[in-house]
Amino acid sequence: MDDRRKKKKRQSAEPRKKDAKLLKRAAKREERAEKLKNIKDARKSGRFERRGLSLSLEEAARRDLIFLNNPVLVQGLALTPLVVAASTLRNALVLALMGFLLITPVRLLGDILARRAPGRMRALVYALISGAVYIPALFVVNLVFGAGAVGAGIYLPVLAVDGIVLSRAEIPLREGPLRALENGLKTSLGYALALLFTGALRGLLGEGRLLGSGVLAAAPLPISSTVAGGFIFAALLAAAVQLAAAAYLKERKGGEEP
Amino acid sequence: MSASLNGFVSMLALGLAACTLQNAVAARALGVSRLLSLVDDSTSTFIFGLELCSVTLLSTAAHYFLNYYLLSRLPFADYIRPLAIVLCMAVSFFIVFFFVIKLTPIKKVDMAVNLMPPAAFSVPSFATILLTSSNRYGLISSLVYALGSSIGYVIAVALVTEGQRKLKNSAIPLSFKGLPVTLLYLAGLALGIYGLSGYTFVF
Repeated sequence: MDDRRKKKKRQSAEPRKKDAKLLKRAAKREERAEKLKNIKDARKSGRFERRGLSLSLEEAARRDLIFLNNPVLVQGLALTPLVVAASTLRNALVLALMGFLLITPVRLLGDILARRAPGRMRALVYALISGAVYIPALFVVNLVFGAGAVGAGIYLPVLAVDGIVLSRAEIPLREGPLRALENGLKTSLGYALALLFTGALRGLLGEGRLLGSGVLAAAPLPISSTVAGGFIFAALLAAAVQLAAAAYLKERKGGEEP
Repeated sequence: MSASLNGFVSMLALGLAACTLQNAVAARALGVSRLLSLVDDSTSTFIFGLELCSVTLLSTAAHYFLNYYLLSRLPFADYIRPLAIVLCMAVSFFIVFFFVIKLTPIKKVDMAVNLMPPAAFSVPSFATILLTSSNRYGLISSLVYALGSSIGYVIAVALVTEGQRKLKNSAIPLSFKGLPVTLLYLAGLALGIYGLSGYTFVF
């Protein structure tokens, strides 16, 4: 008799447990949908609703991938081509063009294709995309620069696995195609600016030439053409950007205070 | 006997050169960005180094055969070589990943697994394979060079870690703190290598 009762109780309890589980899942789903809606609304209105505040100065600085948060001189990405290969303006131009052709498409395609990839496989997906995008990119670079592209040596293909191209794979949060396009273009611009400035300066000081034509009678600082010179230039530029960014933020903060 | 001894000595010289005179960081500035993120943690450096060595060796071997039997016969090899190297790295990634999960102590598994992607798809590994290919090394020479280069990278990370520790205790102007002073330290290392070798490398 007791066994029957127990059986009946068990049978009646099981659907209740299932219902409770289903209800919990539904509630979680609704909660997630609401959160996503809030984020989308915040993006549409151009506000960054973290802790209910509008976009802070620090957040704005972090998002400025051209000057204040330059990918090369502040974040320390793509230092390899800057330090070694960008010893002349021509090399810098070749590397900058390759950067433009690689960074944005890989970021955009990675955002779309690596959506369902597990966290540890995202780098693999991004690297494969990068290797595939490199083929037409090299074709364009060769078309524009011809034999001049050879000057960048192994540093041109190395860009395909550089942190500036693959670093996005380490962040699991999706940024959306439009944001990926925008950030990709900004990163490319920041990278190109750092590279061109360094290339021009190193070419001038290390060889006394700009784009093949002699500007100075003699090279005033031949060490600029070496790897050590590249490190020194990168360090000085990074310090200058750090100083300028700190001064700018201090001034803006002072202006914002009542 | 003397021929095999000569071969051994030349391999040893190649490995040593890859580790010191042609050091991945100080002579070619390879993987500087990754190095900057590794210098704070010595345990992760050791695990990263092991994974990097394994992936580089396996990828170098895989690329050697791929290049020998396929790439060198194609007219547009330079265009597809990066993709081919990435594919070799992907295969090595899965092999090393399997062994990392099987052999790493439970406490360190999470860290080892998280370090796998940056170690597998890294600039030093990729550039080493490119260099062995452009220098037309044989299989053994390629493997020796790859091993020397990876060890050289780990030594550079250890040197910069020690440098960072010393730099943290010294008074540095605010604008030079962080990335700039580390780059200046690397410039010192590069100058040392430059002085030792006395010539620049063709890249």
